[in-house]
Amino acid sequence: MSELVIAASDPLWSEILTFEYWPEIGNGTLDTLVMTGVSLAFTVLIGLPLGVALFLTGWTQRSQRPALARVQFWCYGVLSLLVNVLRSAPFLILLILLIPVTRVIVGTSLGVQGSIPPLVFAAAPFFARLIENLLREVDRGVLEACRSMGATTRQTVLWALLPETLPGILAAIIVTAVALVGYSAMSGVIGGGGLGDLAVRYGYQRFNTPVMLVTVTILVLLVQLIQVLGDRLVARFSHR
Amino acid sequence: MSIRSILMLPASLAPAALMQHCLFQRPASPSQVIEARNIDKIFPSHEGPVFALHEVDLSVARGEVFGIIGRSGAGKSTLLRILNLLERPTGGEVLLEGRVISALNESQLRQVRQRIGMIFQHFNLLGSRTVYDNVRLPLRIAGGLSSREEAERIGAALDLVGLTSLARKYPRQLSGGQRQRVGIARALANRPQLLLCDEATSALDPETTQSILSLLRDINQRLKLTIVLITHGMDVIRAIADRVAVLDHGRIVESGPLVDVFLNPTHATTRALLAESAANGQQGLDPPAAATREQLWRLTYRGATVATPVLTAAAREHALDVTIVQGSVGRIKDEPYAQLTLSIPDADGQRLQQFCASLARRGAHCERLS
Repeated sequence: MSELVIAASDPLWSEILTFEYWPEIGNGTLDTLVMTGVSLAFTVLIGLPLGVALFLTGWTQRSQRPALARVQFWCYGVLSLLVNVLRSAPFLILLILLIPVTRVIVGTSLGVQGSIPPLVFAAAPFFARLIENLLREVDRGVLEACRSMGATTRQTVLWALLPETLPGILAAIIVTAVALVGYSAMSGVIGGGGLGDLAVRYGYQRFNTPVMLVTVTILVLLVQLIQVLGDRLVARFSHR
Repeated sequence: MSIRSILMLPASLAPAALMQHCLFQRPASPSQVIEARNIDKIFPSHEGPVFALHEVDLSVARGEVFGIIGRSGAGKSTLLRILNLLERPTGGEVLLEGRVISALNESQLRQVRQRIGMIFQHFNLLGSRTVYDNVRLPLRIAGGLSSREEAERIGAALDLVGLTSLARKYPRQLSGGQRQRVGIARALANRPQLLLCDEATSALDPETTQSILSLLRDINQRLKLTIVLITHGMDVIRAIADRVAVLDHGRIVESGPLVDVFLNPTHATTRALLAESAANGQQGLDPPAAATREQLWRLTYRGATVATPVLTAAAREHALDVTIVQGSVGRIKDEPYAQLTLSIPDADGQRLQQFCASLARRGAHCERLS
């Protein structure tokens, strides 16, 4: 009891407990969740097929037939270059560079809506590389078994490769989600909304330390939550 | 019966036999399930092309267990993968039930592969799927079955390998032997015309190896399923094969019925492999000190003869004393055999000749080693 009283009498704590920004922090948290959630969904939707494509055209899967191998070589080259370009630009720069593209896609470059396309552009290539690496780790014997059963590439991917890597894919989704929470906070710099936006506007520009501390704490808790839930999910789907 | 298959017959075939071939051998079910003709496989490498296989011919009859043995690097794996075209030969052709499959395109090949089962050294099961779903995979791939038919096929396959009670388990919950049984059930689910075994027992302990081999033998006999297996262990071949081919540096150096190859190996590699395998590897005694004046002979007999006193009968008849310096008596697959190395005093040639003739009359084969 007495500790609480002391805590409440501390100027910083009393300010935090009583300040008028709670509604805004609530909205910011919600915005962050929406940005992370929606961009995560699009990231997986785009990154998963992209990762599979990288794997199927990559050097581990090169055909013995020269004509097909050439097609694979060029497809891989193009996809890989695209992924590397998007991954090499710092996210802050990417945000700014993509403003015209974002306008075309969602009509605005501001707010929650405006920050989703750059988030997806930044996270999908990252996620695709994670998937590519995961697929390369799959036992070659399993692929050979599928071929020996007369499976098509589509059947091999859907019925063997993806189920075999499911725990890894879930883990990659978690890693990407955490990265997206961080990126979404960064988009606050260009008026992206969410907790990052609050931290920048109040904490950084107006030297409001309590708001900054609260937003950072919420971000920490959010990341923690994602990781714990994610780990459970991975464990649930691991049969190894 | 097409003109082509007549032309493919050996030129030496007598007209009567040709007639018989045309009349009685229906093209729909030629007696050869799988044939490889004049197979070459060349891998490009930095040091120039490497011949993995050179002019390999083999042909496996329906219901037969055909063993291919060789040391690692001899090309066994490549040869096995050429039979279902996982690996394309550089030259030569592969025929499945009389149909050339090496010229098919990838999608036609997929259809063919759906009817060729394959099991692997490391089982290659899906760790993320239950035993049941693993066995279901080939059926899903082939498609065209109702879920009830699927369930029946899977049930029958699991029953055959004795894993019905483990259908809901995941592979990592099973022992090595059980995993290979799942592999076998998966290979059999789609009712294959042929089963390919790629070192199927090499990752298993001796006891489990025996149980898997007897399962394969049982399947071969019950389902009349043709099996081609590759291995580096003579014991595997001895336990299960009807015919055997010895592969060395990409060539078949010796082939024939199991017992013939085991008892009369002609190639150095075959002899070396036999010497390494446990039952044939006992160290024989050195020939007696007087060996300079003695002769070493090898006596081989098999089948019903093994149960008769051939040696003593012949020896008594010719009043010869012989010393057995090495030998083994046992069974190869199901056939009893005896192979003894004898040391015979330097008798005159005529008496020895008579001795041999007398052994031959009793059903034993005799040959001079020194």
